[in-house]
Amino acid sequence: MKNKERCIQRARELGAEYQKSMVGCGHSTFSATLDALREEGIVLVSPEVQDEVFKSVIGLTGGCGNMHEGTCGAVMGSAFSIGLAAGIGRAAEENDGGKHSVQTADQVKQGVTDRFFELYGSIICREIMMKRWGEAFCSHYPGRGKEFFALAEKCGCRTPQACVISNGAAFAVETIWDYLENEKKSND
Amino acid sequence: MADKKRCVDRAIQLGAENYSNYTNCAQATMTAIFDALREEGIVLTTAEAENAIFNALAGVSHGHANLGCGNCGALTGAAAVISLVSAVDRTMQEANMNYRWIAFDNVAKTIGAKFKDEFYGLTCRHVTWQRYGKLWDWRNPNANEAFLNESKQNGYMDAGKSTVSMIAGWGAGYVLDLLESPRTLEQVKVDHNLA
Repeated sequence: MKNKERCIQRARELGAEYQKSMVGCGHSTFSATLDALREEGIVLVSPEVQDEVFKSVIGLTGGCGNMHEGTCGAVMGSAFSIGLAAGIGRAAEENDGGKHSVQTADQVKQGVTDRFFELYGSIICREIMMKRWGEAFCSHYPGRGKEFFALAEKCGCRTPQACVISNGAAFAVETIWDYLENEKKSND
Repeated sequence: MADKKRCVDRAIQLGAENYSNYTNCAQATMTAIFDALREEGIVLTTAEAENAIFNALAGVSHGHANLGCGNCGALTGAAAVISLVSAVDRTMQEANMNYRWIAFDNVAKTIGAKFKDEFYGLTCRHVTWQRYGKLWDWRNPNANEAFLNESKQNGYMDAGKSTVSMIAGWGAGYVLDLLESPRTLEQVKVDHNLA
């Protein structure tokens, strides 16, 4: 019997751990989500394909290219994971008139973005920074990236229960878990 | 050898066609860039991985989850391809955390900068406000229909005029530039004063 709560907690732990070892919200959230699911025997894609998707999501970290003005990378990494779990592929999607995309968007909204709005009031990187730390930093501006990391460390937010990345990964795991359970029930 | 103008023109054309197929701006942009490059003999990844990236983009269109307030979906689709071409994999990033700046700068200094120049921001609402002078609630089917009708009347579904086709063209051009002159670790270390 797979354990949903254990998997969610593991995603939280990996999210905080990967922020230290990989540095960055988009790819850390994506990796924590897929790795936590894999530990429970749920394999969304092969390791080789996961690494290719990793390459495509890393540039979306930090509100898009670390510009902080776009969608939070943790929200993006979560959405990528949910899209992978729900994906039907290009050929099938060409025939359904966008219906599947709308359903996946609803899962992303209900499972992740609604909860980010509750917690942080936004899904935009720098707005989340303002809510979470009371300050926002442009990492492309000299010195601000280091200032941001120092503040995050000082606030003690790099823990499984407090880290924004951990929250994103936990919400994604929960959403994917419920989606796969519902799919299984409807197919039985 | 890829012909840049031909590739960009083809991405523009495919962007308009693909948006009609998927009505998902992120997926339409991503596939337009992939397909235009493939026609020039440039294959960015395996078929399986390409399909996975397509699936990963399913829920991020129209300002993320059809919310309007997040990244423009076409930006996300183009940025995902630019990031892929940056070729920063997990092993590299775990070995040296500075690698991430190659992908960041490739996105920020190309499509990101272009968006800020053209639309004064990165979100779907920035783009629609600038191009249409109006915002719609993408989660309302009636509003979606009204947007599509207005777009058709204005020719904004056509190649070169639709947002997706424009951004697919920009994206294809940037990818070709980056393939010709890849950003290096040494370069980002200097640019960002990294150790």
